[in-house]
Order: sequence, then structure tokens, then C-alpha cells
Amino acid sequence: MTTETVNEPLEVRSGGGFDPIALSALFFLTLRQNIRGRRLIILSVLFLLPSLLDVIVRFAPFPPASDRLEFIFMFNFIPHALLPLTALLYAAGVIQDEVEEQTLTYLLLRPLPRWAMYLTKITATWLVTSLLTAVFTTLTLVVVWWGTPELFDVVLPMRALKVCALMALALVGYCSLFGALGLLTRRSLLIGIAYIVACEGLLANINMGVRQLTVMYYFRVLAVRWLSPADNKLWLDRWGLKLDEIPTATSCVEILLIASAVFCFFSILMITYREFRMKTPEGS
Amino acid sequence: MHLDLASEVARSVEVTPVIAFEGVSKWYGNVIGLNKLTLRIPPGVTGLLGPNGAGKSTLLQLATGQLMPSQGTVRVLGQQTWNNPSLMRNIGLCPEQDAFWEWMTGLDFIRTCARLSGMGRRQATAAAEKAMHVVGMTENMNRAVGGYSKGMRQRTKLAQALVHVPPVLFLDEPFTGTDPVARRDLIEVIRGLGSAGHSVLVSSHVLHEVQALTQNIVLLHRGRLVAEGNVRQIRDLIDRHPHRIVLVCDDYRSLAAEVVAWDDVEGVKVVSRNGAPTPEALRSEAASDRLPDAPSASLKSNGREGSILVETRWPDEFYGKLTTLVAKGGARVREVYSEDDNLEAVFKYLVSK
Repeated sequence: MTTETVNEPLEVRSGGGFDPIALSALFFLTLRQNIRGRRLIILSVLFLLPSLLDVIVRFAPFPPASDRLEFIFMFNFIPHALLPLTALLYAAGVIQDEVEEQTLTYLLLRPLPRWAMYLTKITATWLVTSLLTAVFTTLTLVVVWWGTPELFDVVLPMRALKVCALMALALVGYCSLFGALGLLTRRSLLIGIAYIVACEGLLANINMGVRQLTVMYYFRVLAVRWLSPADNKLWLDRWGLKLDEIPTATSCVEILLIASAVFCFFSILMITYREFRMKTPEGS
Repeated sequence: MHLDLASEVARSVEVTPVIAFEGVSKWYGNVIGLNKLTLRIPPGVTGLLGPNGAGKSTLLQLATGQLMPSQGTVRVLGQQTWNNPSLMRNIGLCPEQDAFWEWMTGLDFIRTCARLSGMGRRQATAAAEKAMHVVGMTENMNRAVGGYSKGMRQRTKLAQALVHVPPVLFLDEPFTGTDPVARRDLIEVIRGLGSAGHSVLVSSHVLHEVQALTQNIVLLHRGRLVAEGNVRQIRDLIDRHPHRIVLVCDDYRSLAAEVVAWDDVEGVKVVSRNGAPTPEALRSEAASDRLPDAPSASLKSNGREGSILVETRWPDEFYGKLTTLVAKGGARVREVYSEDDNLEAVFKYLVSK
């Protein structure tokens, strides 16, 4: 230890609004936080399930065709279960994790506006979840279409990109929704799972107008618009959609982005005016 | 109630305050954290003293913009603190909570804090290395924070508060859990910061620690300002009450035998770590029991690791001898803490006066 000081303290400095260096540091810090820990390992294992199930199904006496398997795994299992769960586990903790680990102080003590801090962290979280989903959905697509000529002709060049874009778009909605939930309540995990089961699972399957309040509805419409085969009767029947009644792809994208912006706005309001009390050993 | 320390108070009021609380109250539901506090803290090093629950952490969190006052205004360098990110360029906080991004190395942690303050990569690396050097962590700065000792963690927290060279520093119980040598080193660093022109507000519940740093103190009790001014007059009151200091060490029996022979030690009590008495239990022990006239093993220990409770009316002399003993390798003291029952008695005296 030395008695030397860092430097003479500088004069009083002003400014502290939008600092790209500080925000990029926060962005990369959030990326690093998100790619470590058990959460990523657990989700990776879960994301491998569709591929493993596909391999098992292929050993059945009469295995379904690849397009059927794709519909089951890519457009039902992953978007219904894994996609919202991934967003929930990451986005709900975007601020909550820092509070629980008591490291939020180190962020609040920097010249970062709270709104910019939140938007930076949620963007980094969306990027990580999108990349994670993209890697494993592409893997699942490869496994599903393995051994067919479509794999290299259609699936890998175009279809995989469209699927990843669709998943990423759905994640925009889920991340903003669960990000807000994480700021609203400490029981975000429990409430989030209940929401996934009740709203994105049950409500989205009820053929009523209220299902238009779910991310899943727009995911399905976009899947139909962008990815369904020419004979899309299976998709429309299973999802209870009518081609001439569902919104256009552009409308779906707009609605998802606007809803996400609204959730982000509420999150910003919450983080701007909320006190985050760090626990102290004595509780003083 | 204010203790009348006219000259010191008058001097401090004349100087433009770095930190100003004007009629500040802070409520947590029905619990009062701070109660109508009006306080002006001048440049230089100031000690913020009070027993646990006095409102020290609340005051520091208000001053660093983490909490919004329920009533009144808080200003640092003339600016409101709540929701004012630009002010954060000018303040640094060494928080009480022992929290880090544990997977980082010490240097990485400090560099990240520097980057979050808006420094470029090279500038941040240079500033982080310098801050780690100042707190004596150069040798260990490339180790993971998760493997640091308590003292190293305290130093690293101090480094993150320093790295962007703020004019105003807030240190919340910076000596908690440190060994005597680390404590002495940290005191030197904080004194150096004051000499270099930083304004430093250090909170503690141990008067001895604060006295080693500055003569200017602010006393809080139950959310109220009890006294402010020169430490010596407060100290005179406190010295009427014996100090109780707990030493956590490897070879507690040898240490007990050593310290009981010192003139300034009035009593030593051995308490065991085997059988798992918690730090809270030890604190309770320190706060409640009267010490015997001679050392005794009131709680028998089977092993060598344990704690001893020392009673002294001359803490300065005791700490000086202890630091020398540890520095010479005469004892392996892992942790030293002093309880605030003495301070509590003084506060009761001041409040009832």
C-alpha cells in the first residue's frame, strides 16, 4: 500500500448524459454476465431436447416426414416453451440480478442516465437470447431436415435465416415484457411462468380476439406469412387461423415493436423513479 | 441535540459546504431513517459516527443519489443528488456491502468501473492499475475477486471509488473486517486522499478508527444529528467507558497470554470459534458480558482458532501495540472489530444532556 494518491482530484466536472463509451462498457459487461453461469448451461441442454427427440422419433417404425417434425419442434415446442422461458430467465433479471447480488450500486454510481442504463442492458440481453436461440434453432433445423435434399437447397440458405429472424422478433416482445415484469415484482420468475402457461400457452390457443394480446399469436401469423408451405392447411387448422382474416406480416411486426416500446417505456419510468435499496449487513 | 462545540462548528459553517443536508428526512414506511437533518460538511476528511441503525448508510445513500429524500434537499457540490447522473463524475462511493462481479479479476473489475465512468480502454487500464497500486493491490490485481480475503476486497472497493479521481469520496465502514495492518494501511491511504485535496466522508461506528483519520466528526443517533465538531471532546466522553475489542486469530491462547500482560489491557476473555459461535454471538458477548479481572477460558475450545475479547480504556495504545505485534509476526490476527456499546453509552449521555 502506498500513501500516493491516484491523482490530484480533478475540478468539478459536468456532463453525464449520453456517454457512448460508458454505455458500450455497460453493453459488454451485460454480455459477459449473460454468457456465464448455470443459466446458459441449463438453457443449452433444454434447447438440445428438440434435436434429441427428433433423433429418437426417427428410429420409430413409421417416422413422420421432416415438414411435420419441423412444425412440431420448430413452430410449437421451441416458441411455446423455450423461447419465452429463455427471455424470462434473462430479461427478468436484467436489473433484479444486480439488485440481488448488490452490484447495482456500481452502476448507479456512474454517470449513466437510468433510462440509458436499462435500454443498454435489455438490448444486450436481447442479443444474447437471440444468438442462443439462433444457434440451437439452426441446429434443430439441420437435424430435422438431415438426409433430405431440401437441407442445402432451401433450409440452410434461406429458411434458417427467416426462422432466426422470427424468433428474434418474438424475443423483442418477450424481453421487453419480462424486463418490465422483473422491475415490477421480485416474484417475476413465478409470475412469468404462470403467464407463459396461461397466456402464451392457453389463451393463444383459444380462437377469440383476446389471443391477439399474446406474442404467440403474432409469432404464428408471421410464421404462416413467411414460412408456411404452399399447402398450409395443417398450420392454419392447428393454430385456428384463417388466411383471409389474419393481419399482414407488416402489421404483425409493427404491433410487436410498438408493444415492446410501450413495455420499455414503462420499464424506464419504473427504473427512473424507483429507489433500489441495497442490503447492508446491519440493515442500517 | 447539538453539542456546543462553538469554534469548530463556526469554522465549518464559514467554509462553503461540499455536502449540504437541509431539513432532510427519510422514511422507510413507518421507520425513520433520518429525521429533519440539517448538516453542512466542509471540504477535507470528515468522520460520520454512529451506532448501528443510526442512519449513516441512509445518509450516504442519500448523498450519493441512491435514495430520494422524503423531505428536504440534499446537495453535493451544490447539485441535487437524486437522479443526477452528471454528479456521479464527481463522487465515488466505497459501499458497505461486500459485493462484486465475483468472476472478474480485481484489475478487470476496476477497469470496468473506469470504463463505466466514461474512460477509453487505455485510459481505463492505466487508471485501474494506478488505483490498485494506491490501495496496495498491485500484486494481487490479476487474481479473481472471488478468491480475495476480506481486506483485499475492502481495498478493491476503495480502488473502484477512486478510479475516476472524484473530488468527493464517501466511504461506508471501510475498515470492517480488515486486519490491523490492512487497517493501518487504509488509514494512510485515506489520509493521503485528504491531503491531496479530496473531500472524504468516512462512516464508522468505531471512534478510534475515525479519530485516526480526522478531527472533524459528525455524530448521528437514531436518524438525528447529535453532535458535530472536534473529535477530542467526544473522545473524552467515550474514554469514561471501557472499549471492548474482539480479535479473531489462529492461536488465540498465545495471543491472550501476550495481550493480558500489556498495561493498557484491563481484561481478556477467550471465546471459541469451534462450536461455531457466530460473529453476531461474539458481538452479543462483547455487548453484554462484564469481563473478569483476569483472563479466563469461559468457552472452552478444542482447536487453536478462536477469538478473544479485550477490554481497554486506552484503545490508541492498544491498537498501536497490536499492529506492531502483528507486523513482527508475533500473532496471526485475522479480524479485529470493536463494538459500539461504548459509543451507545455516549450517545445516551449526549441525548439526555
